[in-house]
Amino acid sequence: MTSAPEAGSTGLTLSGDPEPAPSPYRWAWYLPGLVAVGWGFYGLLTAPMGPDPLQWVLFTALGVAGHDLVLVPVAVGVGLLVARILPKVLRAPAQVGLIGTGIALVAGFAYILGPGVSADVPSALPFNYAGRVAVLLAVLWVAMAGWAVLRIVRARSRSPSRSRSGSRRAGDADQPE
Amino acid sequence: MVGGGALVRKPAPPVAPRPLNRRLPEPPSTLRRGPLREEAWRSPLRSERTAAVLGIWVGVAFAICFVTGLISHLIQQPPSWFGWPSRPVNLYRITQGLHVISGFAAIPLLLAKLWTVYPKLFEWPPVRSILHAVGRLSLLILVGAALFQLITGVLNLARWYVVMPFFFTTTHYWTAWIAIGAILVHVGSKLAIIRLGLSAPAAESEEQADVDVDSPPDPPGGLSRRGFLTAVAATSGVVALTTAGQTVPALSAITVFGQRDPDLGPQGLPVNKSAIAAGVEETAIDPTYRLILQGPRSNELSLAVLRSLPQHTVTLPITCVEGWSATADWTGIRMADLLDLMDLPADGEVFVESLQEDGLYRASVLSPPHTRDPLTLLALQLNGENLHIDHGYPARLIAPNRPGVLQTKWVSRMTAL
Repeated sequence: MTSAPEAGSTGLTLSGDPEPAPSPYRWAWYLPGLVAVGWGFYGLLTAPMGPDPLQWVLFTALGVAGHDLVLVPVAVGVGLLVARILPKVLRAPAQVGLIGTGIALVAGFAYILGPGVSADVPSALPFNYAGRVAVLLAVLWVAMAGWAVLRIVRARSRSPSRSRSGSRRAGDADQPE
Repeated sequence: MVGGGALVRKPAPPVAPRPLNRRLPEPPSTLRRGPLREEAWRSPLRSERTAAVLGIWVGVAFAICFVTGLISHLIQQPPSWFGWPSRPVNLYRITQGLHVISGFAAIPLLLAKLWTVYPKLFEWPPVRSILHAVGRLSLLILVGAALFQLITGVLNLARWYVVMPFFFTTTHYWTAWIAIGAILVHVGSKLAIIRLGLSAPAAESEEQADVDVDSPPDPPGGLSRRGFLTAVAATSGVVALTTAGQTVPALSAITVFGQRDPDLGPQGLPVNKSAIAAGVEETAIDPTYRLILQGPRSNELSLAVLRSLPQHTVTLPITCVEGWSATADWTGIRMADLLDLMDLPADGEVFVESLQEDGLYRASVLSPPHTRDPLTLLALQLNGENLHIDHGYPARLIAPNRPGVLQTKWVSRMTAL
């Protein structure tokens, strides 16, 4: 804690280093950006058929909360599990597979649930979306399994001695018995 | 240091901070637990470079979405200074197709970007100064508006309207201004860090692996930063490809996130609003149907008379604001011929109304250059057959390079403006 009147603007970067001084050109971005934000709020509040401001705020807040409090914690938790449970040779394929799976489910959930399907307009939403997402994921995971096998073979051929006698971590699948 | 003398940098004179930037008291350190801990977030995938590269990709995707969405808005609600050409005939098909494709492609980009900077949510102290608090609040607007756009876009494509307690079109349009403006402000505030990130070494070996909260020092084997970026880009590309099938017929077989099959529907063409939904299933097939022309010279034309007028066949796409499009052969009377029957001047506009009694899109204004374009028809046939009732029987407007919502169906009246 400090009571000195020091500048409070210095934060840390993602790498933990002090943030650099702000760019002198920042206002060239601020000005059009602030005008656009202001124009957007003005339009939301005044446009005919515009939203109820409270409902807009609630919908937006729900989106942020769903992302920050549900989606990312789940992704972080799954990533943590992958890092702790999977042998190292399988981690990268698993990560790519999980990234693809997560995105497919996020992008496709509204199609899969299918509340928009209507008998009035049968040409809208005509596909078996759950089936198509499943096929996409199957292709993805088959590709990742192939990549994993390649990595295992490559790891074994690169360091046969380590494979036979190297130090072993729990769950390292690339360390044969 | 050259020549033996130490180079001593003169310390910068102390500058008294402005009140808004004065450091606020820090909360007790005992509160710094869990994700707030200094070492809580250690994934080497997160870096200034990763954030900067992903930020650029997100910015490009949102810029494409914004510009194409703005074009669509201006076509539908044109201010006096705006004009939209009738050629090339596929231009709107491309812009609106891009709008939806880039929107879906932005989903993995935005989520990866937000994942990368997620630890900043737990930075300590949570608020360093009043300016810092304002900056954090502005991020809430940025993240909220960006997520809002993608969520509502997906819901609209999936026709899941009931969960949106507002009119999608208006709200999506105005929130787009907030999102793009907040992105510009964010870029301005991060210019120096972006430059720092982009000038950092490109990538590390794959042996610099993944970990996250509470994990032990980096075990090897996971994705490198370059691998992470490649995976995100590939995912975005696959999402784009599997969305594009509703616009690009060659890709329709691999559609996963598209709303339509361009070949599926009555007469091999999708429909956005059916006759039942429009409430015209009886009036459209009424044998007493007349097309009413109101202008300098007014007229009423029966379907038989319309069929007796010179017929022309054109090949044009029908392009929905939801991004799907499909090409078909349309046969009917040139609009220019009908406008001549009305004695409408060459620069005149016409208000085209439907048998549909209610609804935002029951009518449209047809303006030059579309009015006199030889490809603009009052179509009576589709692919060699009388129009299916869901495609606008007995007569519909079809014009080049125009959104589907303005291609008025079940046309009953044309009034000179």
